[in-house]
Amino acid sequence: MKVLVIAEHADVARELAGGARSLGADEVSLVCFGGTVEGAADTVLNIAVPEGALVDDAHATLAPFAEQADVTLVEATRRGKVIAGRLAAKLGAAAPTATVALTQDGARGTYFGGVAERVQKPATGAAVYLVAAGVCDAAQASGAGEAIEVAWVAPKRAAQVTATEPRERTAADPTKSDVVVACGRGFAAEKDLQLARDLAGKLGGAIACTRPLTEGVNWLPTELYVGVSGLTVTPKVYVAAGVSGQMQHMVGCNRSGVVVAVNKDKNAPVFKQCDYGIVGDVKEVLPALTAAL
Amino acid sequence: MDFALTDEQQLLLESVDEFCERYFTEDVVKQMYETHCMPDEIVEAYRDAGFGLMGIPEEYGGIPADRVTIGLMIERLYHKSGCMHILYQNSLSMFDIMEFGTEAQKQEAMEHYLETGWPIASLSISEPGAGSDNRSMTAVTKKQEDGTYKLSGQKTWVTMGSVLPYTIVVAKDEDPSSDNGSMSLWLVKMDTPGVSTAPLHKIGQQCIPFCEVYFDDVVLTEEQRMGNSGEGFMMLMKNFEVERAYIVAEQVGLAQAALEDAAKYANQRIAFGKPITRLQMIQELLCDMEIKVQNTRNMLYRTLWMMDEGQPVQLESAMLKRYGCSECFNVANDALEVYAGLGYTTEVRIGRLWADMRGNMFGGGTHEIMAYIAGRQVAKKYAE
Amino acid sequence: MRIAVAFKAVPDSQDVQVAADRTLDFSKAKLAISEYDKNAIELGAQLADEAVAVTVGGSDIDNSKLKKDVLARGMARLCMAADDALAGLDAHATAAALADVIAKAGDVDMVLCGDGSADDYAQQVDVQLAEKLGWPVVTAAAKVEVSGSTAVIVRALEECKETVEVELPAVVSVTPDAAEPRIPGMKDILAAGKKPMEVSGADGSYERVLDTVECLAPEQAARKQEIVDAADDGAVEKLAAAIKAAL
Repeated sequence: MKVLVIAEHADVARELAGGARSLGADEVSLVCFGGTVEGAADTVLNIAVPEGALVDDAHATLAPFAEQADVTLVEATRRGKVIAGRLAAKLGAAAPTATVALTQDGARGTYFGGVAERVQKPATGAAVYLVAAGVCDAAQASGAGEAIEVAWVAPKRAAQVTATEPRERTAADPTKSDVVVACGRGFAAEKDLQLARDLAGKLGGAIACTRPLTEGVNWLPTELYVGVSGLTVTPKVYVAAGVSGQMQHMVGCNRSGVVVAVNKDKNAPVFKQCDYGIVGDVKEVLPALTAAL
Repeated sequence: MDFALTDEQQLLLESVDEFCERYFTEDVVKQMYETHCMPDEIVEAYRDAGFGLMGIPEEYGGIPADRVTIGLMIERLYHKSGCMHILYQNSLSMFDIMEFGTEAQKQEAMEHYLETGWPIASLSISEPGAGSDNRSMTAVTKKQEDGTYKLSGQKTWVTMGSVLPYTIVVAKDEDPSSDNGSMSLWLVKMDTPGVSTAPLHKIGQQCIPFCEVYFDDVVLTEEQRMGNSGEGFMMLMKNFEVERAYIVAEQVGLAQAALEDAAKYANQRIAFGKPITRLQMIQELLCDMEIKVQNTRNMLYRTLWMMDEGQPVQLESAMLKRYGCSECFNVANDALEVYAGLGYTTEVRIGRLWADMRGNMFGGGTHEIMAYIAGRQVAKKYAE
Repeated sequence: MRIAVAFKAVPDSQDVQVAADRTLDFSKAKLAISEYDKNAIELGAQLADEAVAVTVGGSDIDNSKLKKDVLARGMARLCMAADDALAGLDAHATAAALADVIAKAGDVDMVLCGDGSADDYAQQVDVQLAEKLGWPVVTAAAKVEVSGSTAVIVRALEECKETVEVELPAVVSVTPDAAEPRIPGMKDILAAGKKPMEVSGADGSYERVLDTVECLAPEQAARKQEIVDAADDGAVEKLAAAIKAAL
């Protein structure tokens, strides 16, 4: 079986290449638009994205490779979703998303904001899957990584990138931290977020938040939002501070090692979904906890 | 009988839900009670959504709406916000101006509303010595030789009196004695010389400030009169009936909020090893609360429907105000009972709702005066 | 400029019941506009001279309240294909069916989509539709400005903000930051019922290319649920110890 892996991040590329082997691939081709990946695939496609071109438009370059592959695995990023969607459309397929697991049965993903988990697989021959970070096991990845230079093929009517502004990473990446302190609406004032930062700092972790804190009040950048349409995190310890525990949020953190909840409302649903809960105001509990650690 | 809501009514209620969810966050509500006011942002959003324009004539920029629909909107507005805010009461003085005001007064009132989201005027009706007993009113205007009038007297419980630019005053014509039933309505600018206010402090509804207003030889001109001379109280009375119904709409919305809080709490509160909803005394409380809410709602919408049909509702509106405001307050009281000690703290909102709702048993006419109005009507209805 | 705004009618997730066998029961759920599609609707209403709402779905989406809801949010008219043959389509089939509805809506300069549907949240219909129409697609649009036949779009990607210029016609899908949905007032709601609504059946048969193997409510991860009050003696210290033990 031939598998084509398309990713934006080197670590996720390795995961997807591992996932390909788990599916039974005997030949893995890999393309990664962010960094080099060694020893993870049989062949590595080197594609230089021209100045001003959208990475999304790599679908035109990759289409012949996808046509030859039995399965195409694409990292579920914004750009990856465009590449996967275009390739699937060309192949007369639709790409299911694996946010939980990817097996020979299909892609297991959340449905309806976490109300259910759904397994979907292609009904026709062509298989394109979107795969989230953390779903597949990088340890399975192997291969000599023979480099193949591939020339960029621009699609018709391509859009142009005129400017790129890196997002300021003001905080550590919650998807890569052992501890995540997530802030919810229990924070009454923006300045109180410092209490969460202090706790995260003490534990060498990252802060994150629920959707209302990025969208409603703009206290934190959208890339820190955990939930169904945001990040999925799996730290060893997840501290849900002032988080009520709505399913749309919890689906993004419910595979964490230990879930700790701090909320002044003892009836908050989060207390049914945590290992350790403490009923109290985040303004009092967080500094006390930081001091006690 | 068809109790179903139209698509439009359902969509309106969904918009009210969206509005309340977006603007009445816990912190904002808390801040409103501490600072005795409402953020302009909410007032403007309320205006922009057109909720406050419902029932105002279309030629002035209003939106046609029957009273049942307005009642539904009010109930939901108080149910979902869970606080006794000013928004709907804002409309009452606007209705009075649109119904009785001069063309110039109407234009100015609408311009002010569309610009700020606030009504142009408060209502100065009650006096320290004359509430339900309106004949005892002593505020009086006396015509001067130059054709102007001089207003003197004192009004009390004037909601938003010190905040809004005008107040609508009902005052006796020429003679303050109780034999004189001739009264007029006047639209008085609050910065006119001789007008002053003094704040009053409430035990509930603190987000709606009210005050006393003093008039010391305030000079008025004929243009400031609203409607015909001598008919002031009759005009106010005309709108009292619909106002009573709308107060009950507020009250039943708040009662629904209290009922939901209490039922949710009872489902979660464990005592004697089980949720207290399994205890029969709690079940009885919850059952009676639901009955009171549903009964009030049924009376409310029937009364509003009768008004929409053009039927007289002197009896129905008085019964509704008497029954609805007190029984809905009892729902809050029972909700407090369900919460027990916790309900008596500021940790939960039930105590606030309880204090807010007690006030609606006076506002718009006391419990007792409603019995006086309705009782006479009942006697008359069955007279041989 | 005429813009077609694609939206999806989804069951309100509040009303979805989970049965004992973990299957989902949608029978009590009312249909509503998928939440993030409201941002696309609002942006369409702001940008277009004529904004046309388009959708496909089962015959139940031909629902008077739903149609008025969309039209009360600034849409000039509505074109929908409502047919049980169109219920529960995958992204490939949805795009094909939507393309047929859009063709009937007249020449459009842009198709706007929301960030993702409340049920699938696959973010694939926009891309599949662009491929079907042969148009460019720009996703994750947090800001959209149109001048002449060009749209300038700021994309909110994971690691950067990317400004993109695209010649119209194009498919653009927006993030919730692109436009805050209006709260329809009574005037909008009353006007909605008088706007044109074009409802048709399925124009063709659309091949389904995905099989759903399983769809069940997740089993709750067993959490310890040890809850204490902050005021209890040693509560914070015990919590600190538990956190240290987990690291």
